[in-house]
This record gives sequence, C-alpha cells and structure tokens, in this order.
Amino acid sequence: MMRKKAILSSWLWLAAALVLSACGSGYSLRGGVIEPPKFAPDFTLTDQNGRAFRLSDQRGKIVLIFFGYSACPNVCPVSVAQMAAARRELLQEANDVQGVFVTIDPERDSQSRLQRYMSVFDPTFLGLRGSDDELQSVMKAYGVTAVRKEEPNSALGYSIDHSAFIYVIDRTGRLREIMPYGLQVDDLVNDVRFYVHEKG
Amino acid sequence: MIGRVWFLWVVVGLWALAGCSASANSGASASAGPIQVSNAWMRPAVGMEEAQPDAMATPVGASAALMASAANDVAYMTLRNTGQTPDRLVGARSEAANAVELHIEEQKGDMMQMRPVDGIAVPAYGEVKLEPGGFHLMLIGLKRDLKVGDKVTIKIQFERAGEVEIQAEVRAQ
Repeated sequence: MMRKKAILSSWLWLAAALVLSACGSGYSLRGGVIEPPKFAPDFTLTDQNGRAFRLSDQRGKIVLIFFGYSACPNVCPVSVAQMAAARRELLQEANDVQGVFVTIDPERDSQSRLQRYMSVFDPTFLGLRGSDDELQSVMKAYGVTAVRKEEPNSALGYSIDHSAFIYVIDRTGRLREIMPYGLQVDDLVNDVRFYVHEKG
Repeated sequence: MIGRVWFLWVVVGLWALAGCSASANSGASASAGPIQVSNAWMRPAVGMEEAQPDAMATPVGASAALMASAANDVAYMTLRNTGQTPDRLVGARSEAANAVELHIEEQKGDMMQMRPVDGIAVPAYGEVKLEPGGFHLMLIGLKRDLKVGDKVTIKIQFERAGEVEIQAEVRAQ
C-alpha cells in the first residue's frame, strides 16, 4: 500500500516537474537543498586501494558522500546501497557520478577491510579513511556527528552513534544537498539527474 | 514383463525426486511449540579477513580480533506466538559467525544508534517483527562471504519454546 502510494507520488512529482520545467520555472528537488549553494570543504583522504583522494580532483562529476562505518547494521549499508542503486538507474549518466563512503571508524575499518566492504556495493565506489585528526577535521567541516559508545556486553566492543546524511556535490564542487536518511532511490535519481544535466 | 519393471523404477524415481524437492523447500519457516519463525533474511556481506598490517597505522590497543570483528551482518525475521503464554527470544548462534547478538537500532533526531538488548518479548497470540529500524540479530565476525541467494542457518533460543533452527536467505535488499 505504502509502496503503491510512493510510486504514485513519484509519478505525480515527475508530472509536476515536467509541467514546471515546461513553464521554465525549474525542477522539483527532493533532498535538503542548500540555498545558496556553497563550495564543499575540500579534503584529502586515502581510498581503499591506498591512493590519495582529493575532493577537488573530482570536478566534473557529481559526488555523493556518506559518512558511516562497516560494523553499522542497517543505516550505512542501506544508504550506500541506495547510492549504488541510483547510479545503476542513471544508466548513461552513471559515469558522471562518483559514490564515496568515508569511515568514521578507522580503528576497525582498515584499508583492506574497506576494500572488501566496498566490493559489496559498486566497483566504482571509493571507501576513504585517514588518521583520526584528518577524519575529525573532515567530519567537522561537514557537520558529521559521531559519538563512540562502549559496549562491554557485546562482541563488537563499541558502537558509534552517528548522523546519516548523503551529501550531494555538483560538477563545480559546490555542496547542493544534504539528504536525510529515509529518502528513496528514485528521489536520489531524480535529484542527481538534475545536477548531471544542469548547465553552467 | 521387463517393460513393467522399468515402469515401476520410473515411478519410484519420480517419487524420490518429489521427496527431495519438498524437503529442500521446507526452510522458509520454522517452529518450536507455539513459536513460528518466518521470512528470515539478511543482506549480502563480506566475511572476515586475516588481520594484516595496514598501510596506515592502527591505534594502539586495536587488537586483531577487533579488526576482524568488523565483518558483520544483520538478520531480520518475523516471530509469531500462537500460544497463550508470552515468550522471549533470549539468544542466538550460527555456524556462519563468531557470535550472534540481539540488538536494537534507534533513530534519535538525526542520530542513529545501535544497542544490545537482553531479550525480545513475543506476546501471547502476538507477533514481533525484527526489521530495519528496530530489533535485529547481529552476526559478528562472519566466517564467509554471503551472496544473494545463500542460506544461513541460525539457531535462535526462546525462554520457553527452546531452540528453533531457521534458514535466513540472503537478499539484495
């Protein structure tokens, strides 16, 4: 029932978007749009293959960033899987999209662990890590909250309470959206497609 | 005469085949006493690696066991109690993981949290769903990769009904 409703509403949105674009007044975006957009804070971290990743080197691509950790049960794999599904649905526009996962748990998410973790989602996605200091400054710049909770009664040892947004950065390096957890893949596809085809 | 014997063998063979496929399908749900477990599923995941020296220094105190334990997965399912006495899910184990724990996931404002719980109540004549955003089984230290279509055997322990062996299917989402 919910799903039918969601499908129906997505068609309505699409119809509304078409009508609006025909009137020349634009497209309907579904994430948390940042107005006016500002440049996404630049950073350099290391990807799962040991290569340096600098955000500003990605100009020309739409970059989707999620901050999480591989021991996270649901929210992290769902968010990264949604980014991967959106990229698949974009078909010919897929090469314009770079998916990025930044670990907030470098202690457990070693480089080789990230390599294996990322392989579940999309072969083009990058899993980034860095020293505690490097990660702290990136998280601060993006307003990511992460609080370590000791779990003496769990084999995990600890868990991490964390915020769970998908950050959308356009071709020119501007942060355009901070998407809340709970949006659907077609919302992501809708918005990313807008930025892919955006002029200037 | 020979034709008749041949026919009999074919009948026996078909009957045996039918028996095989019936038992292969029986993993969809399981029960113990009044407790029924259905729709058990997990997501694809990668198993543990050998803990190996990393290019980036690992903080002091992070043991090999902790690094290895980052290979985890979650199992969801529906628990139904057809009896008049409340029961509780109190534990679980699986050949596929070093440990299986009962956890709850909660959203507090913008923050996502995960906590272990002692048990999950299954009310009399009631149902509880282990599903995304709520209760789940956490499989910690996966011993192998889990791919779509794989089946994972998990034994879950109830306070009253005892142990139920279930098959969780690995699904894309």
